[in-house]
Amino acid sequence: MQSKLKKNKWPLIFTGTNMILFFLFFFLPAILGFYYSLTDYKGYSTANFIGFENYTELFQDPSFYKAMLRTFRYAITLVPIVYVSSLAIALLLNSNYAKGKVLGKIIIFLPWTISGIIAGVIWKWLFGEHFGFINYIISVAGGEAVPWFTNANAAFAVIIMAAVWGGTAFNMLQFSNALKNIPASLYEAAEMDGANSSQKFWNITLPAIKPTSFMVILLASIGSMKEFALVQSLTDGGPGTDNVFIVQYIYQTGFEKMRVGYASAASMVLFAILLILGLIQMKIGGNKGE
Amino acid sequence: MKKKLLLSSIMTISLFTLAGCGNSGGNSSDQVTLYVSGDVTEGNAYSKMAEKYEEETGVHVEVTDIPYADLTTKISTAVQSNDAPDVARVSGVVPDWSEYLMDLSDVAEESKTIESMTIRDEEGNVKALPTDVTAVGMFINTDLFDEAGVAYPMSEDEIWTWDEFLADIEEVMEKTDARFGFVMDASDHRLRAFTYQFGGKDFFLNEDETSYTTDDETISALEKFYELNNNGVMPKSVWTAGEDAASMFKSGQIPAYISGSWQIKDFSENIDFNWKAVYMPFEDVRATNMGGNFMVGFENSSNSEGGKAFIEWLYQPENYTELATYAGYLPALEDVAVNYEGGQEAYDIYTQEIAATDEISGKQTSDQVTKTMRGYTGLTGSYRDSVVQYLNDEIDIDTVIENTIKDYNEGYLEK
Repeated sequence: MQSKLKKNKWPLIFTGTNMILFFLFFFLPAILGFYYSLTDYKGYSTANFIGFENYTELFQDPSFYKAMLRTFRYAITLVPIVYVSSLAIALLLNSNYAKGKVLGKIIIFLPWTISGIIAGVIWKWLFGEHFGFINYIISVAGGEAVPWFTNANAAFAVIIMAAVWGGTAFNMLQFSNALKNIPASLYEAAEMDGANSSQKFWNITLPAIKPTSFMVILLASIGSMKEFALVQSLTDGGPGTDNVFIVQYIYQTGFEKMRVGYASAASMVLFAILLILGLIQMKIGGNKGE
Repeated sequence: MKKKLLLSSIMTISLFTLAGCGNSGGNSSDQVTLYVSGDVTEGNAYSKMAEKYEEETGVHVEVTDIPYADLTTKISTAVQSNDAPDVARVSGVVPDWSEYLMDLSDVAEESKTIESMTIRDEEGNVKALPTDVTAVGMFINTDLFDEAGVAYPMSEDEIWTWDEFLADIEEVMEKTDARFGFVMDASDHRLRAFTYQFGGKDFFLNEDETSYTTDDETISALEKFYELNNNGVMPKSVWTAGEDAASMFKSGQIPAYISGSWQIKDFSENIDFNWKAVYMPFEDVRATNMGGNFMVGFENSSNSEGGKAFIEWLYQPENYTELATYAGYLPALEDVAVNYEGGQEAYDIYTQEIAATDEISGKQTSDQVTKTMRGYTGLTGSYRDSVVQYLNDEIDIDTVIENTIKDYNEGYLEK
């Protein structure tokens, strides 16, 4: 036994350290979050145990459902757009006929380096309803200024555009690497059989990048369900509360209204939804060994 | 040997780490810890006063600037872990600290702090002194008014009624390239000044003290506010979608801006058109709304005596005047007059505005701090949120009233 321990000393030290860190910084906060969701904790003072009261109130709160529905709508709209735009740009930059690929990659990748808050501020300047660049161009061209931020759907569209702008880069890079790994012999054989570009894309490219597609869709779905910084800085959830997403709702109830227990309950619901979402996607798209 | 060396190294590191976790600030009598949360100007003002204090007394004041959003939590944690700062400049007081706050009654009495802004506990002891007074007020772009040939009040005899003001800014909009008539910060504090001016008392406790309520004048004012946001006199996006009111005014295309005294210093340095602070319009009564920040000292800190001595020194008229000059504060002491480095004329207008205002101004701010200190939950911002939803046509005026009263009752009537 002792010699076995001695033999496995280093693996034990390394995995043990990881386990401790996981327990301290992931598992413990998660348990603490769940505990707070069963209390009336305000962020200060003592936390009184109130059972599932927060959950009962949450499921009767129309604002919670409104935020949740808006978040689902955001994820359902954003993920396909990001998927298509990232893949299209990756294909373009991977094409043998494309010039200036490196420069193209750098330009497309730049938004990824900018934080959501800053991206929100930039897009706010661009689409500012009264003093924004886009409305200025529209008015110079003789058009009527668009109420970008006082119309709920227009504001939603601006959030989507900004999110696509910010989210395309990383996914494009994933696709770019996946495309490089497709054996050229597959395309050569298809060409010999007389396949056209469209047939090559649907029958070789798409199936070959399936694992990457799965990962991109999964990460984009989770990311969009957790969107906060961009919408906070771009529209503050407005106009009114029409574009308050679920994480912003959690932030507002937890930190602005000082209802940490209630916000923790909402966080736990979001956690459950993300878990289910991940499991469903793994069931549908994740094959063993990928 | 190697093992011993390793063990002794680990123990030494642990010892240093544990020492670092302890009470790191203000643990000697020649040091006072001060927590502040302010912008660069205010932070610098306190640092300068700290330097002066050290020169005079030899006691070092360690000024720690903490982000506004974190200050309350930071102090709560520090108080609970027996590591409270000696002195803190705060915007409110939470029940967690109230029993640890030192009695500052003698300082309040001697320095004559403004009574309506001085926070007392149930026994009447002063637990927080006002550091500064802020007041809601109006700024105008005089270039736009002059270009349109429209006059603005230069003395208290010429103050606009709201109808006169709205007619005048319509004229400015017609004759210049002004985009809107006026803007107002998206804040219930600013909105309260507006409802007061229309003769309302905003939201207040009913006679038998069983519930908060409001009055017809406040409701009319809120309906007027809705109308102004929807008829193009005000840009609706400021309240409903968080567009920055100050930036809009600074763009030079808005004739008037309802904000507050804290903007004077910034405007004096950063606006390149001609502007003025003017008397606000009134409908029934003249009113502003006062707010401010507070100075507290902790009895359980490591150098509470030193903290008290520093507060006493800071509230001596000469030193307080210096602080107010550096920070651009409207004074919170009755007998202090300040010569500001810039924007003197604007400060004078604000001072007169406060002097002439209805007595309700400032009461709600100090009531909120006092009640929160006494263990009530406090407001959750439903008033502003509901008005935003009302302007966005999500709810009607009755729901605004209902939500706000519910929030006041839960915050200040139920423990």
